[in-house]
Amino acid sequence: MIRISMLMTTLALAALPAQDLGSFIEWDKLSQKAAESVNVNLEGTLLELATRFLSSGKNGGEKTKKLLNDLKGIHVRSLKFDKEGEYSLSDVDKVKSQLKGPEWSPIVDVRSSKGGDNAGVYIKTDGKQILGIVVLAAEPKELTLVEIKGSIDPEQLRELGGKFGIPDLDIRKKKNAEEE
Amino acid sequence: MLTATADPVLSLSQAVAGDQTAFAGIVREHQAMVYSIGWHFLRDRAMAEEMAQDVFLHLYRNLGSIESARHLTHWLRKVATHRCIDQARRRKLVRWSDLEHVREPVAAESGRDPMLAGLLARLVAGLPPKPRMMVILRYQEDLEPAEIADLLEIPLGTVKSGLHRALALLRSKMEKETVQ
Amino acid sequence: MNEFEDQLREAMHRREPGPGFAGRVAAMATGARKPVRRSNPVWRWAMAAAAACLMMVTGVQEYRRHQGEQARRQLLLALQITSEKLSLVDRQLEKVEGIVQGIMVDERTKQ
Repeated sequence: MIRISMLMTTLALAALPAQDLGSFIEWDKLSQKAAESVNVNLEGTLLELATRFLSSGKNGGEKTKKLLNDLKGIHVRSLKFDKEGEYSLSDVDKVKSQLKGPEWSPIVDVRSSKGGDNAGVYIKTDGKQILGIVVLAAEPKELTLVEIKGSIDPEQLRELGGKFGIPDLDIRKKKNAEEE
Repeated sequence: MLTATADPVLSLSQAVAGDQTAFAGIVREHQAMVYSIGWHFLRDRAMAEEMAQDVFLHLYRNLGSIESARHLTHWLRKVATHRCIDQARRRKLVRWSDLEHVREPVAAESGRDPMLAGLLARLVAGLPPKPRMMVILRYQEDLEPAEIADLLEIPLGTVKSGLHRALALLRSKMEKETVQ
Repeated sequence: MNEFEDQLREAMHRREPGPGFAGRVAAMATGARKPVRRSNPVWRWAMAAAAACLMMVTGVQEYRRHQGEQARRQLLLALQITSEKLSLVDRQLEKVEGIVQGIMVDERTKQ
């Protein structure tokens, strides 16, 4: 049984290649039609500064600090629209086509046949090491592309859930708790 | 307005009465003494003038307590002396010469050289506060050790040994300087 | 009294303060002038330089703090979005699993 939470435990992220996946979608053009637009690009000194500020708070445990220290870059583009059909699925396919190379492994690729949510998680490896992770989510009114760089221990990534206002990632854990 | 006269007692009574010119006359008569104590002790013209200014302003507020011309001189010396030592305590920036390792002076003759006066004055300024003031009072004001002990409110023996050690140190330092 | 002490006496001779000292002090004493403090220009320059340095350091620190706080907010937003989208994928998978399990149950009942 495939579960994101389980898959994440096997991930150890290293640096992503310089290729900009975001360039396959015309974000600037689409953002003019969007109700909400997010564009986060954190790398290098700015990321160090951000992680230092984030981990210095009361939530900054040792595991969290390690995760944040191992993070080498995070790029997020996300658009929320008021109505459906504002972006073309062909744009999403362009990105997906870039993620079909031999270095890419789709961990999850879900596509709804009735115009629902399309989402995928992809990892890039060099055959031995995992080099990065991409999350692509194409919802009817929302389009999101996340690229994370850095050798992150996924166990620690899960630790972020419930901290800093981030929802708990481990849905199964929640479900079990509810059942109990 | 009354004018200052050569009679110090009359000048004092005029100054007490608020005669600015009479007080200026008192200042003029004693300014070299007060300023020089500050100058030789602090080796800073501005600080020495400020100290002298404060001493005379303090005198103006206490003119009523001055009984005689002699008392006035003694009072000014004492206040100036203690102001300087207090200032040195506040500064504490200079590494004083270590008097503990200096032997008692022995008779030594050296050729008189007026050109060495500047060097000697600088060497005096490098002495620790109390011995420095002892040397100033002894050689600038030509006071006897007993008078110095009275002004500094320390035992006579301390003054005598302090002066001896200070002289030995000055002599040895000057010899080193002149050899170089 | 030896020559060294004579030299010392010569070195310790009295000096006069700056011109007009007595007049200034007398004017200050009688309230005609305010006392002059720390007239050394070097001291004034040092104070001004120290104040400027302090302002600069405070300014740089404030800028760094502001920059760090902005970066922290951006990182939080990025992590929140990542978390939401991973949850979305997880939910999608659960739906797929439910459908597959349903099909398998149907197959068994048919058999």
